[in-house]
Amino acid sequence: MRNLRAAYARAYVRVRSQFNEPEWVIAEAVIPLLIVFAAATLYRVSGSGQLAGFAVVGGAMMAFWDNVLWLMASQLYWEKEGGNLDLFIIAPISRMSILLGMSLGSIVNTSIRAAIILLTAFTVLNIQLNVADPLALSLVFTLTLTALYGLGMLMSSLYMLYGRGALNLNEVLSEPVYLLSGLYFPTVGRYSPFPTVLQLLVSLIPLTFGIDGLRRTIILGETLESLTLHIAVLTVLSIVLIPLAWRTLNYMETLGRREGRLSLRWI
Amino acid sequence: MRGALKAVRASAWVGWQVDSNWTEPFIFIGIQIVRPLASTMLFPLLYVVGMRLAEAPIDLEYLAYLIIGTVFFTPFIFAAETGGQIVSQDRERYGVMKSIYLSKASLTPYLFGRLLAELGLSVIATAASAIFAFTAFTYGLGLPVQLMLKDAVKFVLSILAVYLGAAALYYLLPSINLLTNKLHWSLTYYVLGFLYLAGDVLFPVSSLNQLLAPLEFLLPVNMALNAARSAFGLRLSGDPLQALAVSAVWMAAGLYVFNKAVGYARRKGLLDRIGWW
Amino acid sequence: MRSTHAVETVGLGRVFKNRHSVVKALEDVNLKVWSGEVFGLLGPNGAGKTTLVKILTTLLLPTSGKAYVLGYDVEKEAGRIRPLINLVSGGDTPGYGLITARENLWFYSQLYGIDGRTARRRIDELLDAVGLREVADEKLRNLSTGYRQRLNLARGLINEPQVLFLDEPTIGLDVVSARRIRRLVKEWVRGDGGRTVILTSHYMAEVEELCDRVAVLNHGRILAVGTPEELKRLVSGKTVAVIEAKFDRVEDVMDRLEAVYKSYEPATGVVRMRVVMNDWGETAEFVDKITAMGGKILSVVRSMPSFEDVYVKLVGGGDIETGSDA
Repeated sequence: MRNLRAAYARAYVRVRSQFNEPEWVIAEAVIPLLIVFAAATLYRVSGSGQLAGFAVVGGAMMAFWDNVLWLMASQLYWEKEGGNLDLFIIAPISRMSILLGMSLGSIVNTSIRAAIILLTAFTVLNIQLNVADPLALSLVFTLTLTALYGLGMLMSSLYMLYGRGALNLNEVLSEPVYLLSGLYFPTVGRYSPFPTVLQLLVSLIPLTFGIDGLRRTIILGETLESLTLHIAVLTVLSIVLIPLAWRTLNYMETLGRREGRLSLRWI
Repeated sequence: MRGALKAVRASAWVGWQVDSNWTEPFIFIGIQIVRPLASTMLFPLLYVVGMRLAEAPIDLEYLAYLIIGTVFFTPFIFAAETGGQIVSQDRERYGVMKSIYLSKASLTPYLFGRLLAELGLSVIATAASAIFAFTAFTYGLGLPVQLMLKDAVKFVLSILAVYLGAAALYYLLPSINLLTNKLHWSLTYYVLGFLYLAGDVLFPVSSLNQLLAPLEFLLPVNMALNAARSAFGLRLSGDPLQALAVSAVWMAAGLYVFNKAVGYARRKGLLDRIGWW
Repeated sequence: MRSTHAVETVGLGRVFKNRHSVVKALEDVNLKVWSGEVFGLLGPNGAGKTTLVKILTTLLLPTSGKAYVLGYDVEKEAGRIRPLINLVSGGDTPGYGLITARENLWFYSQLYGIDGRTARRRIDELLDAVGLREVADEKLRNLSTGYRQRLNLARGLINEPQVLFLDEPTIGLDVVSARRIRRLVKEWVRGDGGRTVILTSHYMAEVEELCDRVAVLNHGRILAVGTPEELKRLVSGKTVAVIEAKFDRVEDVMDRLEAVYKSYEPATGVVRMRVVMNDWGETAEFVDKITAMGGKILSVVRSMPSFEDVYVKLVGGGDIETGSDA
């Protein structure tokens, strides 16, 4: 019960803080929109305008990936810098409940932003939606978020201890992941520009199959039958990442207590 | 003068240290090479995959247009990211801004030194991106893109225009962040997003709407990129001298606005204000 | 057998190793703190006070020895200790800037599983106790340092801990705010029997005012433990000379006067020193040392040893460095 209260409280703080700073809500919707418009225009100008919807779906999911990197993975590092991490450690709760709360709060915030991006872009760009199977869409979306935020929790544990160096990793993981996981175009399957080995590697990023599945269900009107691979991959990732995050967090915490690095700032 | 040069040199050294020494070498390479490379490849690949999905032929000249646009947009990205964050880092996080302001050299040479470090790093990133893009498309995807330099003088002048335009951006962004910290992380990406849309990076700005066509002559990006494209033999009217002139005007404006912003910040007590966002 | 003390350490040690060095932050620390005590940890920077507090609050594992809080082993039974303790670190004002003071307290209350009604009541009581009622609905980022530190103390009391760790709680605060914090701590300890406070500080007056007993640490070792009065007896029978002297070039000798230095008036060039001696007869020796350094003695006054003198004596210092040319 204590852990559930802690998770709820952390989610509340996250949601409340974000909406107390309206500029963040605007920025996190407008900035992806600019890139969405650029990518969609590129599709149209180059003669593949019917794929402009891919850019829109990509823009919405970009909000989630950025959230996972900057507000999940880095968060325990920022809590350490702010003096909160010590208080989380000495409190009688599981640290996973804090990460769970952060995830839930982030999902709420980012879903609102993603919805703004989708609605605005679909309206302005006059793109045809083609959702033939809402169940498939819900399943793919839920599994994608579960796996994504599981990855965020795992990264959070590593960043907690490895500080600045790990934080800089975020910079490396933004654009390369947009490219490799196929934010705006498929990078797995028949039309992928990447060799098979690379396709296998990028499949480990939940975003890859997640976004491809969302493209297929929202723009191409595909149904559950053609998405079995996507659902299988996302399910496996979810099942692996969340327990792995839990174990890693426990291990990192013990290591931190042993080496005295939990309270070290500026490393 | 000697003092100012010393300050510039020391600031460039600090800029290099900030970008290189605070990460592992592997992550340094990741940030300075891999990340710009990914930015460069994203949109040209989008074009290629889009055309394959639509079962339409790939226009190699347009592919070259895209690659040159994204490669030579790299200095703008470097300049905007550093310029956009330098105020919040130096004022809020490290607390060095007031000490630098109060020093004999003050802020302008400091910023210039940091800019030199960034632009130096961007040269490496730009060159690496260009080589990788050419190799990947020509040999990896079997698309023989025409990226051979046809006019070296034109190219040098257009690169000067690119860097001058990037420098203008670098001074303009902190001018805004000095006066309000609300945009301390978002301003950079608002500007870069706008430039991707309207900067002739991916397509002529007139593709959006003919009413926006004059932006080609007004923004510091468009003419510089088109001049570079023209230097590679693409069929475009890109005058590097005009591009240089536009970038020079932006640079002058950037310096002017920055100095005004510093004066205003001093009057309002903002040079050392922390935690007000 | 489970310890009956609020805090007990047995041969406690902590070593930090990195690529370039090995640091013994704590060495063979043996302490017993009774329930209901306000126990002070005094020592210069790097003495090991914060390291000891981190081990006792389960943030850090010891490398040797044992530590118990309320009878539970900090290594093996951290989960049992955490509901019963809390930590307030001065200089830190943790919290979320974009939510209100009240909301911040509510958040921390939920980390201790306090139900909604109890949390609201306790938050109101604490806001009144620390004098933050009028700013309770202000965002944390808008509050001054003094207010934030009061809120930090309120946060530390939210779970009604049996042992409260205060790590330099008044550092960086102005005199009025610091006095307020000390008064709040005294009131809290008096409020319910069995409440224990472990306080680290290097403000002598604060330790003397608040603490029932004090341990003096330096270089990771306990130098002395006792009540402030007992510790003062370490220097009882000793005498203190307050010496005023004028130097032509005080900057040349300031290094050597560091251990006895009290104050310097630039306008007059007079340095005031405080020297603890075994016997008043030693005064002549100190006067000679000062004269040899080029000082002109203006006055020598006899005084009684203070708690600060105890501390200075224990951690080293209290003498004039004569240098190689003495």
